[in-house]
Amino acid sequence: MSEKLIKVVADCTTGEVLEVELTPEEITEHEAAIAVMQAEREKQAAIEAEREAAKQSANDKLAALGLSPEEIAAITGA
Amino acid sequence: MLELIQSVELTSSATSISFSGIPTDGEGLWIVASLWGSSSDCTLTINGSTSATKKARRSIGSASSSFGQDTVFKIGGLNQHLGVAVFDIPFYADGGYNRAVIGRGGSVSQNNNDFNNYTYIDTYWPNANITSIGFTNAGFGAKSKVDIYRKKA
Repeated sequence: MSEKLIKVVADCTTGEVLEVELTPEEITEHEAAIAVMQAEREKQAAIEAEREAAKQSANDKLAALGLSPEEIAAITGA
Repeated sequence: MLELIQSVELTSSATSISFSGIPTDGEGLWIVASLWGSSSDCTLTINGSTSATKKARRSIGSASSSFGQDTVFKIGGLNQHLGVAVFDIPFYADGGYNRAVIGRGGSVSQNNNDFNNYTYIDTYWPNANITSIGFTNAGFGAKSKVDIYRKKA
């Protein structure tokens, strides 16, 4: 990582704003947090994809029963 | 009436911002977070705690955002969008405070401009003066800004 990572510390009493370079420990923590966030995002994306697939499957089954797109929208609220 | 207490612009190399010396007089605080191009979750902390802000954490500005769910607070979106959140934090006579997300906005293309959808969350914390406020993120982008206002009568 070429860019130096910083934390910003602001004192509302004095208005002073400091930019402090992260320590190696803080960088490690930061990278770990990113990894956790990435994993969480992938998990959420998978849940979303599963939900969309289930919705499509349900719509397809309703269509196979003979319901029109308008009727499907009326009962699913889509 | 709102009085600007502190306004800080952030660079893309910033991973967190913390505010100390928070005024506890007045009727409360407004925090306006305008974060650009974040591709990661952003967490608001009050007094160093994320759990204390659990109810105020919302997904903002991303395509998968879902306001109203008690999920991770995302702001900025995944595709270099601007995300904006406004937090209303009223103070009480006993020193306690409440927290609420009163508005959010994301990219126009994602139709996330929902500032008219005010949502107050009842998460009153009694006897708990605010001593610090912070945001952490994987990177705030080059156009990010956090403003803190004091609410006065």
